[in-house]
Amino acid sequence: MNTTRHRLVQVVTYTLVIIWVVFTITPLYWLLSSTFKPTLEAIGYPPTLVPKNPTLGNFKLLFTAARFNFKSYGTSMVISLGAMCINLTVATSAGYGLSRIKFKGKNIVMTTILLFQMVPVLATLIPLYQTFSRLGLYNTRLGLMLIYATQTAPMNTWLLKGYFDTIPYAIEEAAQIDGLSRIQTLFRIAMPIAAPGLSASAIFAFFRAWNEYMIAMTMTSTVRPYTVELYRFIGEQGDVDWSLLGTAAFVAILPIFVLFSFFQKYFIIGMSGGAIKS
Amino acid sequence: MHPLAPRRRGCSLLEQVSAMKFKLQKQQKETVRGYLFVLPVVALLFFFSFYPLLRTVYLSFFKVNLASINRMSFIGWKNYESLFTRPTPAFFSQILTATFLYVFGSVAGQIGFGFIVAYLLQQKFIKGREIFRALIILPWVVSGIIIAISWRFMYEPRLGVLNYVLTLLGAQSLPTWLNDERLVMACLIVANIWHGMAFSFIIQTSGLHSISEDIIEAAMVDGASAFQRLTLITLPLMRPFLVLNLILTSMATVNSFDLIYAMTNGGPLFRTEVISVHMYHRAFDFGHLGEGSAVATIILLLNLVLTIFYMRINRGQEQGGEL
Amino acid sequence: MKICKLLTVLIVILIIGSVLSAAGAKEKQAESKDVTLTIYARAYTFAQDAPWVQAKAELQRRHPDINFNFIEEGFGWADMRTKFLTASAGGSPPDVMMTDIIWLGEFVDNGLLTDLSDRVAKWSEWNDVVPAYRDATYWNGKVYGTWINTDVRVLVWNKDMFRAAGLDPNRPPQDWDELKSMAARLTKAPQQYGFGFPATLEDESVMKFFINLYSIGGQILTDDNKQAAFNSPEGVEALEALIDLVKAGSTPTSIVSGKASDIDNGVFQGKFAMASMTKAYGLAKDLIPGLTVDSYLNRFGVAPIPRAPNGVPSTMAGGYLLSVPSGSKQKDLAWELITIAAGADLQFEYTAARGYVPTFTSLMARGTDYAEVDPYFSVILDQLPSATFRPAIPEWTEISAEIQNAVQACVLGRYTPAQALQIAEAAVNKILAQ
Repeated sequence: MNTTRHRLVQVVTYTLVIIWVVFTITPLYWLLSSTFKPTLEAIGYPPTLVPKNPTLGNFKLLFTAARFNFKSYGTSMVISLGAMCINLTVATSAGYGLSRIKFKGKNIVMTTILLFQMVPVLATLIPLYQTFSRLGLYNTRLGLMLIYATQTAPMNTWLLKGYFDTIPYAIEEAAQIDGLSRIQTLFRIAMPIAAPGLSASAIFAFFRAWNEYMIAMTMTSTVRPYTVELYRFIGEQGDVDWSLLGTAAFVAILPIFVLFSFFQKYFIIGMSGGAIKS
Repeated sequence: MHPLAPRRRGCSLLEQVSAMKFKLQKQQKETVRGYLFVLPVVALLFFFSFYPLLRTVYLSFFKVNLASINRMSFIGWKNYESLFTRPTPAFFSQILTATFLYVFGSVAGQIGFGFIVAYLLQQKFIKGREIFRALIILPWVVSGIIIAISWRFMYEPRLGVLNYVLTLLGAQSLPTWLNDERLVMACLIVANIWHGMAFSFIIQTSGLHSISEDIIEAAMVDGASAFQRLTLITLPLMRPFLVLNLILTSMATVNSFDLIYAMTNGGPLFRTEVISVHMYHRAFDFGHLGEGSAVATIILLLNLVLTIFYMRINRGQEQGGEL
Repeated sequence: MKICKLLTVLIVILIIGSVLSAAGAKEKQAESKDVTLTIYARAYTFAQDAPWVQAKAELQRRHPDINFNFIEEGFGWADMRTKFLTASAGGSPPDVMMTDIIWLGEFVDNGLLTDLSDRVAKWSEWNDVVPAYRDATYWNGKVYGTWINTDVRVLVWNKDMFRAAGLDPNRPPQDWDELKSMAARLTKAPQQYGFGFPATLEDESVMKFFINLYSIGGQILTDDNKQAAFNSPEGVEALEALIDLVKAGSTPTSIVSGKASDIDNGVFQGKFAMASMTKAYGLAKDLIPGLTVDSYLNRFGVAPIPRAPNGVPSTMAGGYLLSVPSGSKQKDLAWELITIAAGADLQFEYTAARGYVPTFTSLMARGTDYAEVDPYFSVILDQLPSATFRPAIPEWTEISAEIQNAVQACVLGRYTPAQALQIAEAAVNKILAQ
């Protein structure tokens, strides 16, 4: 009796979870499966679950079609990597300083920095646009990199500080006795130990920049990240070519998929602000 | 012994004073160094977060147009006046209502399902937890624009999956989903729940992790049923996480823009014109940067209220309040 | 440890790489031999030969010593205006801007366009422009662009659907009453509807209302453009003619979503039996690959838009100018490109291929040439005398938005036409008073 009830509970639990997972997968599956369908099938009726005539032709079309600018992926890649580098540099420096160096007002600084994580970028959009215009940063990759780097800077600083905090002082003192400067200590000793935190911060910063579209849309005209290109695509056409769109989305998700499957752990670390470390 | 006599063998007063001076200097050096390390992040935040924030409020009192961006004229509260008195879209009855519905529906769904799925996956007998987790987080790592596209495809009246399934089930009149005034908000909320549930899921999972095994076992020994364990022990212990989740998700939803802009752009007939989308429309589609800033300032106020709640909760936690 | 070294090396490389690419991100002109010209235009203009492909080639031919780099940005209609404004304000406007005639006042009053009066005076083809159209390019006494095309709206109907409904495929409705009854007969909801018109928040949506308005003797604004004039008995009737179609079920309420172009496309895809639009032939060719002139004639018809019973024929005109933004750093070369792209030769190819109306006198005389490319060209040309332009005042975008709201609200049954127009009138007057 107990075991049958237990078995029932198991079945119900698994079923509910699986239902949710199916719900999660369906929209994505739908869009992405049109990647492998020829155009007529993709916009045809009734919609097919499994491509009847699977084809790789859409990739070629994506690359050559005048309507879709393939270079936009490159632009996004450059911007995301740049943002990631700036973010890492800044967050590592600050995280280390806040962790290891005793100075007056340290706690206030940390709290203030963290508070800024809550500022909605939406509310800063207009002045940023105005300032960028004046400074000549409008429609530049550097401009976007700076904004994206700022977005996750507080969170990553906090994250890295947490990791640096776990380094025992003894190691640091030993290094100092050995004659290493602060910066050298940072690079040779602290960073290797905080490697998971660094990876999480890097991945998090990258993926936030890669996916972003409101700022990209507002701050650019000829520089075009893929998110803006995608929006242009659905905005422009009356009848959307879903197979091309699906393919474009597929290519866009690819880096994230790859990062995600190998470094899923780091996404979660980043998402939970270091709360979940496994 | 004389107070000024040397304290350590072989250490003169001079040496001690210079030792103290050295320590002071070292501390000053440390302070400077500390601030140097923190400088880049602070500079970044100042120029790209703090200063723009102040300027938003400042701009809201001016008339600035996109077409003539260097001409600013002070007009006091007029921007707010226009905003509140405009008949369509009406600020209180349409914009705030849409925002409230969207936030309420999304947050309830995200936290509700987030908790349920986190709780289910937390059960000891679950195998393959990693895989489930990975799949559940998937919507969160995908760009808002791609999510908008996927769901638009699902909701497509003629070619979409939803209506196809409905025809299979024998439905006679097919809803037009995103084109239907009455259904559109619900459609958006569903898509948003789909998108954001992962975040709540993570928070709740870490919360459930933190509940010690012993308490649960003690309850089981005392004969508490699963339901009782859930309601009398787990949920109360989860309270700080749930509250944190509530506030963070509410803020994120108030500020969310991507999905709605790409799916309905505020329509049809302003049914989904939430405050973030409205700001964008006033500022960039109509070119009234001043008025857009006024809307942005209101968004800021909403955020501020939520942040104050958050800080109160945080302080309560640190002082050993709930846990 | 190895991973960390790798990470460090990677980061260093990436920092260097991103700095380099960020530096190169802004297009710089190394020497006067390298010239970059940025063009903002409707996306569909880049998808065919004329005008840009040929114009660019010709410009390059005239200046063999210059290495041109053309940046072409294609946009949707509303997007083009927004992007132009943000780019101009952001300090990086294009060199050539496709300016909708309706935006002229707004752009010029805000100092965004270059005064081309002197340049057009020296242009050999300027006198060839039809005088009425030449006059329309003036704003406050100066010229800011030259026409690449103008257009008028005509009724387009799907003859196959007419035949299937037992109607004479060569007899379109002449007035509002006939339109109503024929649309009802052609409706087989939800697969097909008798008549389509957009009710989205786009300028095209109010065009249909305006066409009716002028047909019945009303007008949009007072002659001095200082007050709204559309809230009149004529206005209410004009709007009611459209809303009645929705009430009768001949037009679906889904017209409030999507894009105006969905409606146009719908005629060629068997979704709507009739609609009014511009560039019919161009659309048909885009949507039906392999369409021949004969099958076009056989399957689709073009006629004047049904007028008010006892009203006058009426249609609305639009069109684009090619202008040089005031912030452009290549004004001379940009203007030269415009003279080629908007010159008579390329305009002929462009307008004939899309179903647009030319603006050169010499092209007006080439009716037979046009007819070879677009069989209904003479019908389109016949509409010119009854075409009206919208007032190109700076506040137009905002005013149009208020009227768009009104149309949409009526379609959704929120207000009656009388109510909606009253609200719009109040809003429009407020805008104009500022």
